[in-house]
Amino acid sequence: MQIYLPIAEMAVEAEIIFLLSAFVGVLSGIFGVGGGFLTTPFLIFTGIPPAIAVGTQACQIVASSLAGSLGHLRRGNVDIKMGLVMVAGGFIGSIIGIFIFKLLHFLGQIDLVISILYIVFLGSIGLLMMVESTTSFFNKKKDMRKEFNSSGISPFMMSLPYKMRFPRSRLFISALIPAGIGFVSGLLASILGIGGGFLLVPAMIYILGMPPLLVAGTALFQVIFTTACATIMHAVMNQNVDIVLGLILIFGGVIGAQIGVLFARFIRGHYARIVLALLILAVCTRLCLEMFIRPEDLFSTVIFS
Amino acid sequence: MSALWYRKKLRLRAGFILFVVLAVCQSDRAQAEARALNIDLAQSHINITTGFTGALLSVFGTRKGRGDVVIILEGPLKDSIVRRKENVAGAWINRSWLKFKDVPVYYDYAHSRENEEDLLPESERLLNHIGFESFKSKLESNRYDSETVENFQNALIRNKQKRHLFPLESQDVRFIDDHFFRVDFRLPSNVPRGEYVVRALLVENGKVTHATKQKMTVAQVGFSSSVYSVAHNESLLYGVLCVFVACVAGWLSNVFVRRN
Repeated sequence: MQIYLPIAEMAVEAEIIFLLSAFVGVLSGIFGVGGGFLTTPFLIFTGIPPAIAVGTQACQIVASSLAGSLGHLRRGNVDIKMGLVMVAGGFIGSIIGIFIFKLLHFLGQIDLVISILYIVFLGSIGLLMMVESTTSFFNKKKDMRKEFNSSGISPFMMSLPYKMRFPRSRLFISALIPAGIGFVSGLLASILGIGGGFLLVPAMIYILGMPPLLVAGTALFQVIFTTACATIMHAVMNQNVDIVLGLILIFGGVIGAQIGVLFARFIRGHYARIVLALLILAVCTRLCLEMFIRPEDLFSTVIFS
Repeated sequence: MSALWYRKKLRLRAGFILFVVLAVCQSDRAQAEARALNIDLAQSHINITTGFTGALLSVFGTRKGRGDVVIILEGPLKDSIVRRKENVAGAWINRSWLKFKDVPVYYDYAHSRENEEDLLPESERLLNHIGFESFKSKLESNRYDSETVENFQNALIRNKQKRHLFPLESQDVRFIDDHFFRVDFRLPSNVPRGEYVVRALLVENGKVTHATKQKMTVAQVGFSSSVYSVAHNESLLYGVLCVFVACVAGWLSNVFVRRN
């Protein structure tokens, strides 16, 4: 069914967009990632302008992360204090991110920056997760040690001020570390239209040393507020949030996320992380190819309104 | 005395009649000229609704004589920037660019000749915006050599054709009889909003002898139009509403799934 998008000012096939967002929603429920790193490139591929894809995607992630985190909240798998400290950093990050987005869009380099950021982040985190989850798969004792203390944190991180106690995560660390992670997540929400879950989840495990049980719920909890801020900023600064497209994405994503939350109970940690790592590396490879293979048409046209 | 007055009155009346006759003749001539080429649109408003998937714009018209008919559909004029990717350390990156001024956001045209070249001499075609060549003169600067500039010009047209904003080739003017003709323009679903102009030209012996035009509006209506205007006029409210809708949708779905 063709449906007209009032902000994108074009018609799209509603079913295709629905199916993709449902698939991404399943991943979001299982892994605690927003899944925007898959949806945004897909939306651009279907011919939706990158700016609209990014702004609308931020709006969709508000819904999918809220739906996902409610399940985790009910089971007590959210460190709310940690989440709120990250939100504080996330607000600042998303506001700064909007201005960077606007500047890059003006310069005609936003697509390039989006690709480079994806390749760098997805590539390094995919590889890191791949290595870690395969070694922990063969050596379960090491895995246990990593899961329950913060010995992996560097001396520099330990020496930062504003130390705070996070009883739920059994951590005593500087508030600047989770706020910094939230800041980066806010930047990504504004520039890439993603929750940044693919970056948050590993960062919370490897940098904060949070118990993996709490990571997915806390990441989703934090992403609700960061992407809500990014959505409002995009709507005000760029007028690129298409609520009709957003509702299709939300509908698909929300259904998928609920299925994902159910799946998450039956899936073992290492398997899930290996699968996620493979998926991240696949998206990264595709983006690399797009960037380094000579495009069909070297020229592109932008109409100024 | 009265006879003189009567003669004067007669002369005045004759003068008046002559004036009226001349005036009527004049306006008759003007009307005849206008009637040499006439067009009307099947609809002067294209309404974009939520179910909009494109539209058909039919232009009907009559001509006198045997001249050729050209119909041009032009959208609002806006600036366009064309960028060219170059290979930088293996990656393809936007480097050089060129700005074109006042390019119609949408353009389509039709004529009754087999070959566009036979219609009018090139200068006349450029002047009347017939064909793509006419946009090529709208460069803002001459920063590059003519070959590079031409590459950019061709890219502009190619990119717009790919997005269905320019036609691949001209449409046909279909004659229902010697005088009555019709043109069908197919507008795609991404047709830009704004005020359009449909111009009709009658071409005889390589000259434009008559011209007329009609206005047409492409606008969103109903729900689409409300969303668009709120998003652009009350953008903060719109942003907050989007977040609110997203939160309600996320929460509702969670409640729904829990009940099941």
